[in-house]
Amino acid sequence: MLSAREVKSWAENCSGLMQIEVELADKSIVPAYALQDVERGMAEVASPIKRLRIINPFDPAIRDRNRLARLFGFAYRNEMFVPKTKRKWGYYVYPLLEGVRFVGRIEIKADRGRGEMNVTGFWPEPGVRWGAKRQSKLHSELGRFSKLAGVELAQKNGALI
Amino acid sequence: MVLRLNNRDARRLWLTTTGLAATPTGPVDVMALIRALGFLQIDTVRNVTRAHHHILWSRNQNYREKMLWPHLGERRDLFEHFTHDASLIPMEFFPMWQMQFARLGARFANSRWYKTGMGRDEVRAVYQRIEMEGPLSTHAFDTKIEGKREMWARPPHKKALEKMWYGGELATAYRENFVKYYDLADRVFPQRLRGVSHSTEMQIDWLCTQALKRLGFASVGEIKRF
Repeated sequence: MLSAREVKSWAENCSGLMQIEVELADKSIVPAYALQDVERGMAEVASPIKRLRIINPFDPAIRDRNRLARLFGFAYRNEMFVPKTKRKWGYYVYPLLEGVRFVGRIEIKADRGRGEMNVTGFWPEPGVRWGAKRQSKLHSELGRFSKLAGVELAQKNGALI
Repeated sequence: MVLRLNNRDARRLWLTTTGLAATPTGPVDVMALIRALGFLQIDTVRNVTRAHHHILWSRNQNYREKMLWPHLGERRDLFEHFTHDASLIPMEFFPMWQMQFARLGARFANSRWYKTGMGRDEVRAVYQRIEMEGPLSTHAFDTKIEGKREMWARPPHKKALEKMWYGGELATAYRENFVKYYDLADRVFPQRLRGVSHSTEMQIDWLCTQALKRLGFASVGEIKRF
């Protein structure tokens, strides 16, 4: 509920801030604000684990679609409110994060009555090679995710879709 | 010399501050997870699991659905209000949320959509029923009022409830199957926090600092949208 003017005025007058530069996914450099301990924070940053993660459409990591697109080059939108015929992907589509890269998106639905979780759509990002190793990581994550919903991952002859 | 983060480091910093860099295992501390995020957005759609459960699970896969709601309804570690959407917010942030109650209350009081068509007395009656009976959900109002069913069955009472909720007169006492139960704010927010007040400048400074801390680096727009 803060206005852009309030935030701008805060940033310009706050003594605890520093101005830094950030390289975006398209290699352009933009200015940004950071707290003064950002360098110390940076020293403690480790490389993200290589596990493949299924990210919720409402996850804070991707909530700001503009920040997501600029930093990761990943164009995402929630199509829940887009009419079915106009959807590019689907109703409830989860981004897939691997390390520092979004590698694809997946549509999954759990049916708790039947005790099943089904994959109904899958789209690797352009330029991402989807080999056996990635597939196996996806499979593992789906298995873990299904446990949260208390259901089993459904498979048809070993395939997910 | 201006510090420059290359793209890879910027991604690493953001994924670390937002809790997605480390291995999501270990003992579950729900409140620590939510404090680290600042707040937790909640959403009704249960596609696999509801968004709030998924967001916590992504940061610790030992998390289970039953672990969240006691922190709101029983322990009062959390309160529910509106960030950019309905969210659970650590209770200790309540004193820094006063401006938010005031601004949202004013926005909804003046919004055309939120015109209830109800008179002041009728809105008061909604409040008084909760005062007398304790926490009630929107369903209590279209099922229990005899003879006035037509009037209560329409959205007006829900709009009245929400207006009082945005402004901080009512608060979420608990949720059951995601249905919100409203109670008087005085019965939800602890006395020790209700007496604390901070200037608008201090609240803005706190909100912006907390947002930037969790973003790692940000533009003005990103701080505003946080």
